[in-house]
Amino acid sequence: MNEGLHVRNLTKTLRGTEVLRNLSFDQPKGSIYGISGDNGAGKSTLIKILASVLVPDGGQVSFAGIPLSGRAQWRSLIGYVPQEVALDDRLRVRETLEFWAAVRGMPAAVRRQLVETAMGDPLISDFVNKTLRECSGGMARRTSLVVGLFGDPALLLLDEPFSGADAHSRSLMMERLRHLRDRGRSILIASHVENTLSTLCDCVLHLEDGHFPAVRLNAPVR
Amino acid sequence: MRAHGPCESRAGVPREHATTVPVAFRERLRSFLTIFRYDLSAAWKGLLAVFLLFSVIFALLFPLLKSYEDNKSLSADLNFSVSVVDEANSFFGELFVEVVKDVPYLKNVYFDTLEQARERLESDEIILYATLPPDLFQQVRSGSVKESVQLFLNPRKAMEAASLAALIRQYYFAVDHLYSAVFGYQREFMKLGGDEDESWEQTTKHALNALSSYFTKHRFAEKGSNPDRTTFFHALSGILILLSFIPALGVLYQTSRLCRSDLENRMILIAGRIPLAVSRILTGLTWWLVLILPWLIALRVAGVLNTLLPTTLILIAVYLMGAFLMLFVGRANAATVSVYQVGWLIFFALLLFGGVFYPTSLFPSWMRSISSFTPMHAPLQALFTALTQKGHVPKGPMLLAFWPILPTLALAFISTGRRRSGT
Repeated sequence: MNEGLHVRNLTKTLRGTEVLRNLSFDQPKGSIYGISGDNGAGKSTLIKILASVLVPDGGQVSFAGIPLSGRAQWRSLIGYVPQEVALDDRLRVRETLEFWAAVRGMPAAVRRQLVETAMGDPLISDFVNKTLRECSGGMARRTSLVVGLFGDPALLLLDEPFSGADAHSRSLMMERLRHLRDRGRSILIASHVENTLSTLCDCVLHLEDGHFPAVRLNAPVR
Repeated sequence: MRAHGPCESRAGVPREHATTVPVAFRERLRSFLTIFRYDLSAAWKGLLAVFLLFSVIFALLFPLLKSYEDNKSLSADLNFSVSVVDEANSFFGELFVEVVKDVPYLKNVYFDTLEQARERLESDEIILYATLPPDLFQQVRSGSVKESVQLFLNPRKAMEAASLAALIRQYYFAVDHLYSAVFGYQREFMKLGGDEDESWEQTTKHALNALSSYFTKHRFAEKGSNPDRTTFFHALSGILILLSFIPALGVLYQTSRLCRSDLENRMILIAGRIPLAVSRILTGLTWWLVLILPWLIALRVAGVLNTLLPTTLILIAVYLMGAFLMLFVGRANAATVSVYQVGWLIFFALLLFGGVFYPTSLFPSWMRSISSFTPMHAPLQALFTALTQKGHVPKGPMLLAFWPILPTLALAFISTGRRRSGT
């Protein structure tokens, strides 16, 4: 359990409103956890804090023994797929992959290899030569997920990853996330679509008024 | 998509968990260059268009710039005809016409009656006529001037008349000074047994000959306070400052557009905050090069500047000051539209108080005091000095032009390095 994600008494106030209130939970390594809740419940705030985009007001967070406060080390552990697609829609999918691989400092040979591998990835292989502008919402989401998976992060943080995705895209993405879980990756998904979370996640935490009044365990956590 | 080797050097992170973020210097450099190329790629069409536009503008403007430094062209600009009216037909009038007839920018010097001179002025043949009082020579000898020389300028040629008036003002002081100097010569002439009338004639002739030698030198006219030239260099300083600052507004746009966006978050988590800010500064600097470099080259080739270094440094200082300031403004926690409005307001306030639109010397005293403490004032003064002194600027004004960089850099650093506490 020490290798997983541990959140203790996490607190965050935004513009005078307490969005997260002494939030605590533990997520074991190699599991998919879902955070559900209505709009404004604090799901995105939680994900952004865990992604080190926002600074918490209080509490402790650690993953694999690395605290959130050790920002550089923390960031080398995580993959973040934000709520928006957050990719340049002028670029082709192939160029997008090359760009984000280069931003990660990968040398040209590694980038080429990575892009070649990605070209065969069922998530994006159908539209690698399309610009993101030409892609559907689901295609863009799938591309965003692939970019988030670069570097094979130990902890993957996904904020509304299925938003705008059709059933086929959702199915492909869920399949990939299950595969990652089976390889020992920890995945935390924030979404307001409870059905999808119930189908995919080992455990769904329902966020309400900044804390978890209810926890639904879908399957035994390994 | 497994992480490659270098990522595993992250201290304290278990090898099997480490993901790929740039750690080693080469990785960081590669990451930064990718972001910079990305920022630049969004601007390359604009850069090319501006470059082509400026090429055309400079092809058209170059002759004008050149004429400001070309002596022959200056003579062509200052090409006047004047009349001297000496109804008493005195020695002074004839002598004056004789000594100034070889001055290159005096096309014709007529020795006219008042009627003839008026006709020439009416027909725009001359720009000025001067009437000498009948007893001018006697007045000069006695040192008691009762009636002065009257000058009549052509009202239909205002620009030429203004230039000539500036020259006359210079020559008036020169004549006065020279006449005092040769006064001693007249007394010595008499002591040596010379005739008094002849001594005055010789003295006057000597004074006018000396003055004529000044008339024939263009430097005398060029170094003076020619209003056209001052206006031209002030306008040029303003244009260069304006063009140097404009790329800073690009920094504002890029910063504000991406501020707190998911795309920026994604980049920051991978590459960090500083490379993003530096990339924006360098993209702005590329714009600066395209906007400013053609001007500097044109000014150098035209001979307005003998050295480019001080001018270049001043203009880079203006850009950096603006870019740092806009990095700070661009990260303000406000709507993008409001941020732009504030950015433009600051831009215009700095230009106004810096004296870019209107010389600060013409401001009311309280406004002059305020403007001297604003960041654009010192660079504009230094730049004006550079343009009027062939590109050379004394150390004091030069250093003063750099003072705004440090405080704005501090602001930019604080705003860029600060992690977000709110959405």
